[in-house]
Amino acid sequence: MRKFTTYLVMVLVVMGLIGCAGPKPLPETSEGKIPSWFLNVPEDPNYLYGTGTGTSRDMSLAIDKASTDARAKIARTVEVRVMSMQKKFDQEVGIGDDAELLQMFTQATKVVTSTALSGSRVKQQDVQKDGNNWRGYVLMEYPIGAANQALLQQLKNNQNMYTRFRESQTFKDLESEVDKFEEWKKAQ
Amino acid sequence: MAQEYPRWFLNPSDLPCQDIVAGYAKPSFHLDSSVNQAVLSGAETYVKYSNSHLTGGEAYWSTEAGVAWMGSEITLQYDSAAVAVTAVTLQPIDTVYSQDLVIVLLSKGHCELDKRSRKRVAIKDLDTPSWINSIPQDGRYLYAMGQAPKYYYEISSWIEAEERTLKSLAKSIGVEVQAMQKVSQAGQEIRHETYSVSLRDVQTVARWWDLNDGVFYVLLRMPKNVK
Repeated sequence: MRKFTTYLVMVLVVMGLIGCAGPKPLPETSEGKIPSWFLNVPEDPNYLYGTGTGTSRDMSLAIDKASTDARAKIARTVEVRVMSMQKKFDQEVGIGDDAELLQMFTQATKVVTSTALSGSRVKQQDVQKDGNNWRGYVLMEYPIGAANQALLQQLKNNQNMYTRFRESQTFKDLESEVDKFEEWKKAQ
Repeated sequence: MAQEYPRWFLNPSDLPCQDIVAGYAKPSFHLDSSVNQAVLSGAETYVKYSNSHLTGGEAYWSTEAGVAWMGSEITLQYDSAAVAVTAVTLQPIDTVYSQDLVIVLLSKGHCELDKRSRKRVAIKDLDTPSWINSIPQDGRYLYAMGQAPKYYYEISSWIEAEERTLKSLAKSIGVEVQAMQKVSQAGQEIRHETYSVSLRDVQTVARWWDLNDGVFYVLLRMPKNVK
């Protein structure tokens, strides 16, 4: 009986010691080969960049998910840039008091931001096995000038807006940016 | 023989010939049947690459649990009646046979292959090409890369990689993006992309098979001045 008690005490002590050792560390997991351009998105004054990632058992779908993710990010950035341009026009020309002009500008903004991202291209992409799935990484680029050009075209298309804005400094700046984009395109 | 290809297959843009295309077929009991099939497949690719129109759309639902595919529809329109006519005008330049695949190089005009271009090279002996990591860019062409996993039939992998590259090329020409975010307790987003693009004079620049990851790559290009 005494032997059993000693044994029981020893078992309890060992169990206590194990308990005091704290939680068992989690096994290390592999991060995979995350492309460096995904973690450090490049910066270029002429381009907007968007990264995206997606997983699927189907490789094509993984890349498609990654591409749409990246393009949606670029589209959102374009929208923010166009809205900031609208603010500049508002400060200079005063769109706020004119309901018709505001509606026209909102329409132009919608066209520019939901319109074709022509020239958006996959700059880099990577596809890797991730367990039973494929994981796709995409770096998408879009020339900034293309968005400016689309906005300028929309402003010019509407005679009222064109007449109102063309003398403003913001319009001239926009035109100058678009000219620079044209030159840059030729040099590509 | 497997995983060995002539240089013209891996780097067709290095050839001095214009208007070339590769056709694929599965090997059959009668070799000439496979070759005929490969010629027809090459003619179809030639017609598609010369002039086609790709329309489509796809939608995804992104939540914290991941991105779910909601649906897609892709239509490639080309003159299918021109395939048989084109097959007659294309001239076979070289043919490669393996256990899994028959490949025929076809040319619209005169094309003389040198010894180096015909030479079979094993993929494992070559370095991974740079375009796998960084898609080329120049003033004359739009480039796009696509890939496919290794399927039981090798031909399926090459064909899917080419189809995917064509779609990627179309999207780089113009794609309409609509994305709607909803943020409540959990964020979610619906993404929708549509495209309707004409493709002209598309050329195959290079092909690669990553033996480690089992991924097939194709690089295509299209002249920028084509509208």
